[in-house]
Amino acid sequence: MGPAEEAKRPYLTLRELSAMVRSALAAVSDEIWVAAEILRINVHPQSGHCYLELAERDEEALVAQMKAVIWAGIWRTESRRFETETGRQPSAGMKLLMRGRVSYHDVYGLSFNVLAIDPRFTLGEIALQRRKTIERLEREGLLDRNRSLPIADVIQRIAVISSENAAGYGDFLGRLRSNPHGYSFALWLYQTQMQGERAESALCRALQVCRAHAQRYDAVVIIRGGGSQADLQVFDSYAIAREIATMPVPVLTGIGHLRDAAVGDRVAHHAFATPTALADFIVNRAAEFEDRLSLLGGEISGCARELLGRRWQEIVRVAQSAEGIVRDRLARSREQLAVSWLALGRDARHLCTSWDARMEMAAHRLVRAASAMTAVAGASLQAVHARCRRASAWCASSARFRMRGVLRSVQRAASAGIAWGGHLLEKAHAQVLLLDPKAVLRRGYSITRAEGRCVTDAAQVAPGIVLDTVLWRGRVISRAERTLKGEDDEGRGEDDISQGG
Amino acid sequence: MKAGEKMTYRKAVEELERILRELESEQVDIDLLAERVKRAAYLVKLCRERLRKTEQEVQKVLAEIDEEADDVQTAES
Repeated sequence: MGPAEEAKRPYLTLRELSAMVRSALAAVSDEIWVAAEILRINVHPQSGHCYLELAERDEEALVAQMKAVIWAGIWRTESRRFETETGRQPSAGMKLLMRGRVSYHDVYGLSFNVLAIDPRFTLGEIALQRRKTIERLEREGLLDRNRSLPIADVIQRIAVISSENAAGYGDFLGRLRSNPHGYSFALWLYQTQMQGERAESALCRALQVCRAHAQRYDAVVIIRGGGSQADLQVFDSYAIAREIATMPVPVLTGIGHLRDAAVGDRVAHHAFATPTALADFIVNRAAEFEDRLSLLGGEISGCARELLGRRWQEIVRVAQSAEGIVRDRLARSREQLAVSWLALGRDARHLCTSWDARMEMAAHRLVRAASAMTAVAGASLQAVHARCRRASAWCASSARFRMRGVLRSVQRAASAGIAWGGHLLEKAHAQVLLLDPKAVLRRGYSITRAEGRCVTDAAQVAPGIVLDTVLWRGRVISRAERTLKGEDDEGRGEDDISQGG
Repeated sequence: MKAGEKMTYRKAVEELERILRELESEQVDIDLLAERVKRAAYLVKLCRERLRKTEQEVQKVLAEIDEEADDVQTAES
């Protein structure tokens, strides 16, 4: 806008000029929508007003440029809304669609007074940009490279790319360490700046360092600092996406976005909305692995049990069939035995009864014979007895009779005998009396004994011998003088003897 | 997971799966059954223990690997 030439005076005061411009600008003083790229952006620390330098390019060359301002009150609500919607803060290079009106200040000049920002426009721009980056990565074969890497069943050794005091990192750590299963995880932190202008290069370097050790880890985890959504655009950077894509181990991101995934998320192996979700994934994966272990263990033991069971059943079946056979045979044997037993019983009973009969018969016969014999014997005995009695009675009577006769004759004979005897006795007594030596001796005879013997012969006596001569009264002891022999000398001898006696 | 390492989770699971397949196909001799089951139990126990190894133990393993690989620069972190 060039200065106006028309005037009553040959010139205008600056104030008049401003007024003229202001009135001329009334034509565009209505609220209008303007799309522009942010060339520079600055929020005044005290006032909170946001000052921008807007521009338009044609093939990199600036074709338009204008100042803009967003008053503090509007900026607070609009920037928050914008950030929520787009995941980033208005920043240089970003294209914005703004509603506002052109204002002209006498001191500050022309500027576009922004009343509202439409984040959808920016989103579309971001999406377009992303699409372009993704197409490029795809062309270079990087888009799905990391995703195609095999991921460990248990992600236990973890490289973490984050900033140590970032809230997201704290959440992640806490979630991992307090996992309910008691799993352990080893974390190595590659610290980096995640916000600000230098965020992209710092993150890029951290990723490169991590890559050098990557083989030691089960995964590389990228956790965004937390808090503001504004630094998300780093993850749309081609350079970062390339680093992630070419990492030799799976990269997991937990950079906290609400809408579309950043390019970094797209090339990562797994992307999560929050660091906490990422931690849960790691824990759950380990838990799933353990479940699988348990399941496998259970199935193995189940299978083993079943196998054992089946073998056992086979054994039982064999045993049962064997048992069946044995039982069958037993039953049959038992039947045979029962039959035999019955037969035996029958035979035995039969035998017994026949024997009984025979025995009974024999017994009968015996009894009969015995009684017959007894009867006969009794009869003959009685007969004998009678005869005996009779005979003895007769004997007794005849004997008694004879005895009486005998007795009588005996008595008679005895008394005759006795009488005779007496007579004889008396005669004998008289003779005996005559023969008594004493009587003889009285009559003068003596008895001479020599040496204890009666001397009847003179020859018995030798001269000198002692003679014992018994007289009727007394005895004479003498000695023989001489002996004389012969019959004639009998008298004398007697004398001699008597003399000698 | 490093290729030459002794027993990895993956290897353990693969072996368990092999054992299960073997048992399911009933190719296992009854005499080997106990051995297989014992091996399976050992693997499950090993993995469970390793999951709960202390963080320090796991880090120690990492440190050992570090010593082996001298060419790796860990200046920046």
